[in-house]
Amino acid sequence: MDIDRPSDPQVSVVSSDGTMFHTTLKSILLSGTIKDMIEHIGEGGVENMGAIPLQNVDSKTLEIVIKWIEHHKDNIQPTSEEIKDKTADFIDPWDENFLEMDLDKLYNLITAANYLNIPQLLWLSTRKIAMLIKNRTPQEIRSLFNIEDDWTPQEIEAVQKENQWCEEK
Amino acid sequence: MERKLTLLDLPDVIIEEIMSFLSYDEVAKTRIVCRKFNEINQQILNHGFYKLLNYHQKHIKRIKAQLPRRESERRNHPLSKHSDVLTCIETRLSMLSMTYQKHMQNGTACFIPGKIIDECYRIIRSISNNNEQSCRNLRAHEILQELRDISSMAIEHFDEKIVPDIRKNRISPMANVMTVFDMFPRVSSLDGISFSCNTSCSSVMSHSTPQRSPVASHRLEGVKKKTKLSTLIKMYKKQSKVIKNQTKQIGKMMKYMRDQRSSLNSLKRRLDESEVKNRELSESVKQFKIKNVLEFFTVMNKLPINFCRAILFALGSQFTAVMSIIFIILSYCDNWSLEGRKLKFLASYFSMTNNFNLNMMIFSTTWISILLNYPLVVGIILKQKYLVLPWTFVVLPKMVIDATHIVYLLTYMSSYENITIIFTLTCGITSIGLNFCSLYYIGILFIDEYTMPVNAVNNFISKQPASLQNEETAIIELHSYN
Repeated sequence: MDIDRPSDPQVSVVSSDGTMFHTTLKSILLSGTIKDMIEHIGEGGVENMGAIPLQNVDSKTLEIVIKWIEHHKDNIQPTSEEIKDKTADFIDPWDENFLEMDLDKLYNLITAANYLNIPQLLWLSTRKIAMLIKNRTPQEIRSLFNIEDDWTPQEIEAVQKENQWCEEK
Repeated sequence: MERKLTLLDLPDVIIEEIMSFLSYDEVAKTRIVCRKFNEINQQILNHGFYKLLNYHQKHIKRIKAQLPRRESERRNHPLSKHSDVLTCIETRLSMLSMTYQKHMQNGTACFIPGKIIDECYRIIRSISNNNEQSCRNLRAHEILQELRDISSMAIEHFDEKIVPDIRKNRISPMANVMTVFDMFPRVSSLDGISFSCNTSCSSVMSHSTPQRSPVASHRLEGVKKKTKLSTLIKMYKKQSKVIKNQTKQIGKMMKYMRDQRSSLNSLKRRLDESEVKNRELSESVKQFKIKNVLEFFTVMNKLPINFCRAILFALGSQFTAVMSIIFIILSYCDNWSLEGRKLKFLASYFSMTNNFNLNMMIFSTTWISILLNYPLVVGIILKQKYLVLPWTFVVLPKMVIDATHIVYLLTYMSSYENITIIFTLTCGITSIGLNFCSLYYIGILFIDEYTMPVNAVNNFISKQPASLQNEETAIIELHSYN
């Protein structure tokens, strides 16, 4: 079923805290979840369906998501399978700037991207976290991500012992 | 107030997604961050190893499909080195599988060396991206050096350092269980079950009821039973030791008996064999004897008389035996007409002595004794077998020896003065059954010649003509002398 239309109708989405956002159908169809929903309603139901409630996404995060989807609405988005083979070496500078946000927002964005099934956004956001982890020591990672060290001394010793296999004498 | 989200609040799938951007080496190193990281990263490492196996398998299949089937052609193919590298990786992966896979499946360890997975991917990608020319110049050794080093390091480290710890950890929960069991009195065998039940019941009772006296009595009883049980267990242990020793001894004895039985069987077999051999041998000896005697008699019968004579003289002093042989020969002779000649020969034999009168006396006495006493001679002369055979087989062998010896003794005992008495005795004996050979001895005694004069015999033989006619003439001469 061909959902795209030349007129590109408006679609409203409501965040979990009740904030309504307006965007184009073309943009919102980047979300796999909403695309499946619209396909299910049918071609004629799009104009009459009203605002789409997104219970798991707050307004701040939804705003970021809508910003991203509107920027990428004309790009061909890779599928989940295509994303897996994608190399993480180079990304769009706009995306690079876009993801310059604090970790809290980033986590929310990741959660929203996962819920809305936007593979490219999920890939970018998780990549961002991964890049933060990369080349850091465990202690640095803990402090950066505010992770509690929940190991017992014996356990931590055992894991350290396991990782000693490639240590040069 | 809204709670702030942390990285660990993200779903595991998302964290896995995040980790997928890191190398496997980094994943392995970040396990230490926290428990959740450890759990997720272990899964990633295990999954990564299996993924690598699949990836490698697909790749090697694809390369092998491109290679020619003939080995000689394969060696010159541009992808041959590519295939060699992949085969080497396969070997390393199988070694790693043998080391880690069991523990990965048990959940006791994960695929710790993530760096190896990265290295394998690096090698496979590098050789896959090479063009034909670079494939030809591929230096497999250099490419695989790092993989070889790190894989062997990982395997050694795991076997030496990690596996003992895993074993220790496996034993420790068992030790905990043991300590729990140690809380109860140690029991063995069926009796112990009832005892343990009693004690556990009593402990339960002690918790549930406030009365103290029954509990104390139960405890006392329990202690008594425990001591009794311990003595019983000691006895049982002693008994089991004795039984074990006895079983050992029985086993040894059984083995010894088995050996003895086998040796007895072998001896029995050997005895049977020797018996059979013995029977065969005795049979053959018997047959050989019969054959020999028969052959001897046949030969003797066929021999000319002069030769027979020579043999008889050669036998010398055992004259009695010679005579018996002669008679046996005579008895076996089919042609009885020969016997006349043989008797003539005997007569000529007695005529060899120098003392003519004595010779004649002996000769005549012999003939008389033969004629009077032996139906043999009569039978020979009359050519009647029924007279000869019984005498030959029954009377002769015994009589000859006995009579000869008696005469022999008498002659020793006697002196020359008592010749008449001796002669009379001899005649008497001969009349009873003495043969002419005994008389011959007497004759020899009278002429002072104890043994056969060999010279005289030789002279006699030389004088004797070879033919029978001459023998006959010799007898006629003897008669004429007479």
